[in-house]
Amino acid sequence: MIHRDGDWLAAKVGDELVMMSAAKGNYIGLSSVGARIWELIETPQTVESLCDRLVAEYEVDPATCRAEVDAFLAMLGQHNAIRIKDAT
Amino acid sequence: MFSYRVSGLAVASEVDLPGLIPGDPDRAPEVTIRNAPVPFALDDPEMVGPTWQRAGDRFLLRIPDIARFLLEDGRSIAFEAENGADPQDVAVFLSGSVFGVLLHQRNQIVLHASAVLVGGKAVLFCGASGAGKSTLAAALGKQGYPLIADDQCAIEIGDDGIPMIQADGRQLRLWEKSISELGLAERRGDAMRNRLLKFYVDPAASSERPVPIGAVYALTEIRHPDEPGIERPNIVDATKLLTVNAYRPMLIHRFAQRDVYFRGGTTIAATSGIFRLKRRLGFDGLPATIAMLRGHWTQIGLAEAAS
Repeated sequence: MIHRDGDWLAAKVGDELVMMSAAKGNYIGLSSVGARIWELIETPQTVESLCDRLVAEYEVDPATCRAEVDAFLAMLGQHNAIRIKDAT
Repeated sequence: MFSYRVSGLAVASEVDLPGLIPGDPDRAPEVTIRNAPVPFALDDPEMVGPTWQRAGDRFLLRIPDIARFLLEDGRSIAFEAENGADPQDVAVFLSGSVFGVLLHQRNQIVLHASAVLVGGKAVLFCGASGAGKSTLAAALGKQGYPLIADDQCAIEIGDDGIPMIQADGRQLRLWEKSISELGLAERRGDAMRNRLLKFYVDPAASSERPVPIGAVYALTEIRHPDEPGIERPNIVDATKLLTVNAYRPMLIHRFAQRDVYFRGGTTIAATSGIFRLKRRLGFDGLPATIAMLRGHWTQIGLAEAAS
C-alpha cells in the first residue's frame, strides 16, 4: 500500500502542484498527472489500483503507465513524501 | 504623538519620522513607537545573532552608534539612541529596517522590492541590495509609471485570493544606506540628508488603498554572451524566489514563516506571475530593459499594445 508521508504543504499553480516539506523546507513540483496521483493517494492504495485508475482517466497503455508510476513513486520516496507498506 | 500610515498600518510615534505618510490621528494605532530605555540583552534569549536577539515575542535589534530597538509582539517598538547618535538617523532606521523586521514579526510577507504602477496594478522588482531595483524603478518613474514602494513591499492575500501590496511613500533606502556608508563627520551635515530627503521622498505617488499585484520580477544580472530576456521559472523556483527575496530571509526561519511565504509564493505564481528578468547591469542597458518590460506587459495583459 502507498501512503503519503511527512508534513507537506501543497498548493496548485495552474494545473501543477508545488509542495513544500514544512519540517525541512524542501520543495517538489508535480505536473498535472503527478498532482492527480498525489490526490489519489490521499487514500492509501496499491500500485495496481492506482494504475487502474490512471489508465481509466488518461490515454495510456497499462505497461507504460506502470513504468512511469513506479518511477514517480520512487521519486516521491526519495523525498520521503510516501511510504510503501506491504499489503496484508 | 505623530500619526503615520506604514504598509497599511496605523502608527503612533512619540518622535517625528520624516518621509512617512501622515496617518489619521483618530484611528486606534496598531503599532506604537516610543523613546524608552532598551536593554543591551534580553533575558533567556532563544536565538542570538550578531546584532539581534529573540526571546518569545520580543526581538531586540542593535545598530551600533545609532540605537537599540525592542520590538514586542509586532505591536510596539521602543528605542534608545546610543550616545551621540543624531535623532534623524535613528528616525531613518525606525521607518526603514526596523519596521521591516516588525512586519516579519507580524507574520506578514514583506519583500525586498521596489514597485511601480502599471495599468492600475503593482509591478514589483526584487533583488538583493545592489541588484538595481531602485535604479530601475526610478527610471520607470521618469517614464510615467508612478513609484509606489521602494525597498520594502508588504504583501497581503485578499479574501478573494488576490495578492495585494500596501503602497507606501517611504523611499528612504538610499538615505539609510548613505548614513551607513558616509563617515561620521559627513553624517552630521544636514545638507546631504536634506537633499536626499527632498529627492527621494515623494508621498504623492502613494495610494490609500492596497494595489493588486500585476507581476513580480526577480532581477538577475547576466554577462556576455547570455542574452537578456524575461522567463517564467518553473513553479518550484518561482515559489522559492519569493522566500529568497524576503526583506530579511533569515527572519522567515526565526519567525517560523515558511508556510506563510509558501502560500504567498504559490498564490502570486498562480495569479500574477513570478518572472526572472535577465539583463545586464548598468545605466546603458536601461532603455532596452524598459522596452523589454513594456513588451512583456502587453503580452501578459497589463498594458495595451503601443499604437
